[in-house]
This record gives sequence, C-alpha cells and structure tokens, in this order.
Amino acid sequence: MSSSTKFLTLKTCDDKKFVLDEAIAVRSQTIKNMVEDDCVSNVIPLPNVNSKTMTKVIEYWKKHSEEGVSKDVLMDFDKAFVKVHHSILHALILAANFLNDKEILDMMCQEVADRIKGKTPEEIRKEFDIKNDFTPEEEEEIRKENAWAFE
Amino acid sequence: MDRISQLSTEILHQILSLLPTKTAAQTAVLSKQLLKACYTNSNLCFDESDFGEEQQNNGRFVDFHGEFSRLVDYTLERYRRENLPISGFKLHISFSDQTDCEGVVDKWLEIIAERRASQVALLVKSESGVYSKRYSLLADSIFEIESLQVLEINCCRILKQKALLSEDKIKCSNLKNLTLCYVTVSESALDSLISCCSQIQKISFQHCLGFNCIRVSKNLPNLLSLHILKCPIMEVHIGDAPKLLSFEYVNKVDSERLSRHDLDICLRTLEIGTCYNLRRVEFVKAEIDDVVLFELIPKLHFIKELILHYCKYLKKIKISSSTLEVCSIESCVCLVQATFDVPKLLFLVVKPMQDFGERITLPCLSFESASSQCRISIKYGNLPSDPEHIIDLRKSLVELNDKDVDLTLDSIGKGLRATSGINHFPSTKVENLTLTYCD
Repeated sequence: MSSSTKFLTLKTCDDKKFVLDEAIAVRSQTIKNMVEDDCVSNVIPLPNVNSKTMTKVIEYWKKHSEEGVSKDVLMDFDKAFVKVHHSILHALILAANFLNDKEILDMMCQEVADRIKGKTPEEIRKEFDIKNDFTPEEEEEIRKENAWAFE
Repeated sequence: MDRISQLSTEILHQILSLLPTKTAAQTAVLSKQLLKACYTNSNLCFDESDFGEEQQNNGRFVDFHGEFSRLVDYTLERYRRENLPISGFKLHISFSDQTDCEGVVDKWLEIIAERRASQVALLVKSESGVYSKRYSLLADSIFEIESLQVLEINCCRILKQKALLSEDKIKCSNLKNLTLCYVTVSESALDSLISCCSQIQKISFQHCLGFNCIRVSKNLPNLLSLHILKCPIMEVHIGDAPKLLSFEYVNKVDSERLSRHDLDICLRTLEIGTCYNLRRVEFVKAEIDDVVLFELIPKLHFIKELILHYCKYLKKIKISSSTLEVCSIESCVCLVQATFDVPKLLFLVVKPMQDFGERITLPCLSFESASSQCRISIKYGNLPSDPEHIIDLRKSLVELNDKDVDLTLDSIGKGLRATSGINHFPSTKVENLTLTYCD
C-alpha cells in the first residue's frame, strides 16, 4: 500500500463535514463502491445520515480499524456501543443500511431482537414506543389467529 | 415517535429471523407494519422446542407436537397460496411416529423446493433415537432446489435407492455450504451429491454413518474447507481441490467412557489430487502412518498449521516445509522421533501421551533447520515421580540446546516440586530449570 493516506470528506444531512481516512471509510460498502467507481468528488454527501449518528458510526469504524486491539476489548466496546436509547438504535440501523455496513447492521438488529426477547407485546411497545395502530377488534382477531404464540 | 415500525420490511425480517418462533409471531400484534413483516417473512424458522412442555400441568394435556405441526403446515400452505417468497427455512421437529413424520415433512419440503429457498436447515429427530427409524430424506424435494446455497441436515437418512437419489435428480448445483450432522448416508449417495455441487465451498460431516469412504470422483474447484468430525471413515479421496484451505479430521471423543464402538474406525488414507493451497491440516485420532504424512506434506506448498493428535501409527516423522509456522504434536503414543526441516516454524507444541503408570517418552526432536525465533512448548500433564523420566526429559531438553523452551507442568507428581514454586516457566533456558525432590 502507498504510504500517503488518502482522506475523504463525508457530509451528513445536517451539513456537518467529517474528514476520514479512506481506508476506514470503505468499511461502508456504499462508500467503497463510490470510491471504486471513481465517482468521488471532493465531498461525499450522506443525505440519510445525521451528524450525531455518523459520529457513532465513525467511532465504531475507528475502534474496529485499530491495530492490535484484543478481541475482549472489542467485545466490551461493542457491548457498550449498543447500549443506547432505541431512537439511536433505530438511527444506526437506518444509517448502517444506507452505508451498507453489514457488521453494524447485524449487530444492531441483534440488539433489537435481544430487547424484544422475553417481553410481552405491551412491554415491547413500551420499550420501543410502538404506537398500536390496530383497533381492539383487529388486535383481538390477530391474537386469535396466532393463539398458539400467546399461550 | 414510533420508529421501529418505520423500518423497512426487509430489516424487520432480519430482526424477526433472530427471534424464537413464538416471540416472532407475537410481534404481529404490535403494529400493522410488524404484522405485515410477520406474515411475509421470507426467513421461516420453526423450532418445536420453543413450544415448551412446561404448560403440561393443570391436568390438561396439550398436544404441542400436533399444534406445532399444524402451525408449520398452515404457514407453508399460506405461503404457497399467496405466492410469497421463502429464502430461508429452518425446521426443528421431533417425531415419535415415523410414517406420520415422513408424509408431513415431505410435503413441507416440497413447498420449500417450490418456493426456491436458498438456505435450508433441517433437524428431524425421531424420538426413539434408533438409526433405522431416522427420517428418510427424499431426493426429489430438497436436492432439486437449484437456488439452494446452504444446507444443513440433522438426524436424517439419505439413502441411495435408484428411484430416490439418482444423479439427474440432484440439481442443487449452486450449493456452497453443506453440513450433515447425525446423518445416515450411503457412500454412493454422498458421492453423487457432492459431485453435483461444483460450487461447493464448505463441507462438514459430523457424527455421520453409512459410509466409510469419502470418494468424490469430480474436482471441487471452489472447496475451501473440509471438516470431518467423529465419522467412522477410513479413506478420503478427492479429485482436485486447488482452493482447499483447511482440512480437519477429528475423531476423538471428549470423554473416553462414552466412546462409541464405531469410532475405532479411523482415517487411514487421505488423497487429494491437487491441494497446494491447504493452509491448515488437522488430524485428531487418525490412523495415518509415516508414509501417508510423508507423501502429503510435499504437496502442501503453503501449509501454515499442522496438527497431529492421537495418531498412534506415527513412529518416525520428518516434516519438511518452507512455509509451516505452527505445529502441534500431542499424544502420538508411538512417536519416537520427529525431525523438522522448517525454516519458518514459529511455534511447536509437543505433548507426550500420558497414561498413569506407563512410561512417557518425549519424542526425540531434531531440527535440520528452524527459525531462530521458534518457540518450543513442551507440555507434561503430570510430571511423573519416577526420576528416570526426569532424566529423560532433561536429556531431550538439553538436545534442543540453543532453542527457547516453555515447559508446562499442569500438576507436578507426588513429591516433586519446582524450586521456583511456579508451574510454568516462560522461556527458561533448559539449563536453568531445576527440580528438587522433597518428601
């Protein structure tokens, strides 16, 4: 590899700019494709990601690109990384999906699944602020149809 | 603000596929978006054990098995009717009645085949546990799925009967990952199956019966790893596997008390046409002898890791490789001499076979060439109290004169204690290790 580090500038939807080592930014398949197709001008716009979320993503990318970090340290980092309010979890899922970073997406989906496990529907709604858009009759109908799951 | 419901159905599917069957189904009542996701999830996972038996109290008998079967049946029928895609299908079910099982599971697999799934995992357990009562997989369902990429079969039989598994019925030519676990399969069926999968990358056989030879007549240009765990086989013959990176053969039962009679059959021959990319080779309890090893090693131009454990037919071996970095030789009971011509070797672990009361011989280690950074680690589980052994050990160590040696003594035999009081001596020069005898 060449010794000169190439930097990319990423611009989030709230107009914040992030200057990042290209080698790190290409953890995003979306950015990688852009770089490979040579359609990177000066600034890469990320219209679907806000700066707060991007800061988190970059924090993850940097940690996982560090050399000589032990697996245990990374595991602890990941554990702490997913301990966030569900709104951030949601934003990270959307960002990972847009950036096409399977690693973050998988980890976040696993976290959502883990938070759902062992909870009643009411508890899940509360945990994720899910608005029940069914009428009581509709809900009753679904419960009946899936009665086996609610025993 | 309701955020989870706003996620795309695709992401919701991914989340749902990480949940147990029951929990996933419960989320249908959360919101309309989740209901839709639940009803169209292309990753179907049915696990009977999620249905639990804890509710069989109240004096009321609940037919969980019947209920579970009905659910799977109902769901699959609905997918067929509504023409919904199924990409992954995972089924874990146990049966007490074989006939009952075959009819239903066959039908389900037919739907899966029709829906062109790409990932299928099956665990169809017969409650009696008898080999002959295992579910017999029909070839014209699952092996006919051209889109199939990952297949895992547990506790089934795949038998080659002309009608059942002829080569023209096997169409899963895109299969990349094949895992057979507790599967009874005949040698010819296995050959037909693997020969038809030219894209195959990973093969894993665990606790399989019915064949004592893996003979693949065709070349497997994409095969990356071949893993054989506790299968009573004697021979492995594969045409060319130029991309093969890892070969593992493990036949050791963790607890000897549970040893199965058929595990006395061990691998004797390994023949792979070209396999110059093999990086890692592991033999645990294989009956390969010096000749097999001698012929194999020169073929491996890039080997990095070689593991030889419990290979009782090895006596005098010579390992010459310009790439080997890690080598582990443990409990090869007859091994008396190991010669290394390995300029890049970084790590060598040697553990002699130890049986109580029996003589322990550390194989004589000699180096024709080895890296100056090479670390040698010698592991003695129990250091015997017999002073003669200590002298032997000392002699062998002295012969390694200029090498750094880590000597590990898990527990030190009666009356023997290292003066330094620690069991592990990191990189002590051999001459510095002193052991005293005290009652």
